[in-house]
Amino acid sequence: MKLKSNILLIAGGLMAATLALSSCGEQKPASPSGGEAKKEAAAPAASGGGAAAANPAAAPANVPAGELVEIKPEYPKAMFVGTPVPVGDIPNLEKADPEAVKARLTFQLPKGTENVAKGKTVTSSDPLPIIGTLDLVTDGDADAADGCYVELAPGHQWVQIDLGAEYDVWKILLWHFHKQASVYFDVNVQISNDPEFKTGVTSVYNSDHDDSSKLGKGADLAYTETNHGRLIDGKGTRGRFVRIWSNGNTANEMNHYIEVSVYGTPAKK
Amino acid sequence: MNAIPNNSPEPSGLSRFMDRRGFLRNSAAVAGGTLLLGTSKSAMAQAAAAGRKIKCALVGCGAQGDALRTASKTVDGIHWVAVADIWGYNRKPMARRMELENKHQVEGTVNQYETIEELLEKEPSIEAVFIATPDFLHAPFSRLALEKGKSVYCEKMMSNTIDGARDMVKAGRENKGIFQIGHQRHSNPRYINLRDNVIRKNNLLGRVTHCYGQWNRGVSASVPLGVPKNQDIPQEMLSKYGYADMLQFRNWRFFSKYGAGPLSDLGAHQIDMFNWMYDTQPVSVIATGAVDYYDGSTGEDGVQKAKFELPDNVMCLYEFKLPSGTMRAYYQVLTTTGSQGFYEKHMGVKGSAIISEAALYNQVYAEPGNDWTKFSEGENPFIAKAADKIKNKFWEQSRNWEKPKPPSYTKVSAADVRESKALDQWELNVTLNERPHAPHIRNFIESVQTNDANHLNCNVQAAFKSCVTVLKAYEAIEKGTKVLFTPEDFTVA
Repeated sequence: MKLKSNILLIAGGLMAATLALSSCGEQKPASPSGGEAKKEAAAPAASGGGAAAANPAAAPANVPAGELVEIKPEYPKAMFVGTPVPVGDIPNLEKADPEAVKARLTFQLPKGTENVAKGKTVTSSDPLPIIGTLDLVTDGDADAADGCYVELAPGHQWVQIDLGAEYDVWKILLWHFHKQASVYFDVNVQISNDPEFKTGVTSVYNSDHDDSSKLGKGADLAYTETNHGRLIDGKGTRGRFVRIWSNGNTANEMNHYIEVSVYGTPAKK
Repeated sequence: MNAIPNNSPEPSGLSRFMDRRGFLRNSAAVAGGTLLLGTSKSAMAQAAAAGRKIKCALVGCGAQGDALRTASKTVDGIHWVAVADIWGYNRKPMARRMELENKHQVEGTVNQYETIEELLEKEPSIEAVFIATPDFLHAPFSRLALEKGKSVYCEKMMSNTIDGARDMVKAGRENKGIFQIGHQRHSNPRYINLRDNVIRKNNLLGRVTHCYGQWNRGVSASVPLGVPKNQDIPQEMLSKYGYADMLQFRNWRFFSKYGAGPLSDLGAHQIDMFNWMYDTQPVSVIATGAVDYYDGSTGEDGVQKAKFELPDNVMCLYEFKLPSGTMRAYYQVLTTTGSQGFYEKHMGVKGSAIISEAALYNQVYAEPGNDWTKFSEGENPFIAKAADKIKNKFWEQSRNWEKPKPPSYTKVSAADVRESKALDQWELNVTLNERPHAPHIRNFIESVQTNDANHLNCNVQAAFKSCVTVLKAYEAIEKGTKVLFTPEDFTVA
């Protein structure tokens, strides 16, 4: 999904890593021109829960209540106030819902869950960020002030976190730039054990409703960034690497990340 | 050191540049079509190939430098090859954005340097240098670049001191490079339309007796700049480059060592318009202003405000002697309210005009008894009947001449019927469909391409007069009295 047409796709090599995603999280062979894999990817349940997904803060259904602990993420202060400026005609933009935000400020996860992304190594499709450094993505600081974010090149770009080991990923809390009202296009959050994301890829969030980024159509909604970030249900997906895509935003063609928290538990062998 | 391949095409002839110049100088987009002003070569020129590329460097990668970069995207012929700034936090993104975002104009890397000296030494193929540093560096950096044989586009205000500006005029004379100052309104087609067609050629405003200009910027928009996390410049480095600390480095505009305050930062654009519109300069100025808000005291929010040195508000009144008679021009710059934004107003006995870089300030009003219909007709009219509900119509609100009588009318007094009749509403029929700096940058690039200083829309001599006009207001504030200008004030021996 793009509002602007003059995006520069600078990383032609990225297309080689293009994946079609399946509803069960299993990786399908790359199929840049569509084909069978793409058809499967277009299924409504292709991308983690979809637009009609249940509360992303919901506790894992298969974990007994006694095995859960309460997680209270630390949210930064809001950097813009009042009604967000209209961001344009975005067909799959969700309506702001303050009550839904309140409902997920704390959530229940299995005992032993922690932010396993903090301090971990981050790589990117743009190895020379325009502003900031990649380590800001996992430094534990979600503040939107200058100096706290990394800006990547225009076009379809990703950041990738190496968790250092396999984890069962229960939640991912993601902050793009939230100092001004903006919507990031084609947000796609993937988990895999393959650092190149060619095999075993599960997409747990995908707002690319028209598959303009050729990673499979997603049924999740686009959203306006706020200081509360975006809470994504990882559903216990097992993997070592988390890759997050975006394709510019409504304010400009750049891609920004302030912080990514990954709440997980060590994978049980 | 220069990784840029030398792939600029050779010039293919002066006539091509002349055609393009003619088109760019004389054309302007209008609502619903394109209006060609004056002696345009029109579509034939538009179809001409772009001029040769000019290898350019940007010195100063802050907000103004970024404005130049973004505006340059629609200017053919610019080829950014290098940037310089002492602050890596600004320098690096500038270079990367030039490489990535402006890819249609930039090939290869954009080299980064800490100083202009290093840039000039290691980038000998550069033809033009854009200077967007704090004001106190304009004069020495311009001279440095000119003496290296470069052409220079230097941001306004020319300098924070008249002596500095004077030296820039001398540097321009002593060297051959093209030297443009960044008063970009000089190249704005809507401003040119007002000056050339409405005021000069057709005298629609009649004798202009008064002008008014303001740039009001509220606290939320003029709050002091802080330092991004972990991006402080080491004090040793700050001192090396002449800055006291990060507060002054980030807010140099408010300290006389580096800048000349909001009057210069904002007013330089608009006070310059009084001179430019009537091709003149003032005979006197009276002014008042001070640091009334950013005085280090505790604000209403309980937070201590920054303590600035230069006035955060100024009101000044210039007197001009035009061939048609005296014209007085009032200007205010406030940093405590954004009320009514920023615009200039020209008021004559036959009509008035409101104009700003912001397109919504676009009104021309005919005094009663002046029918401007014929100027809005024909193939390329330069004014148009105002659309209904145009923004800011409140300025000259239409109403029935037969005013409702007040309740007291029959009891104690008659209504005052001496109030003026509402003015007839028109608009300037020219808009600028690109960033405000773009036409001025284009004018500079064209001048460099053709090595034609006469093509410049704001050369250093013209800008010097504006610099003197603005900075003399401070003398009036300090003395608390009217300051007279002499012809010598506006000349450089």
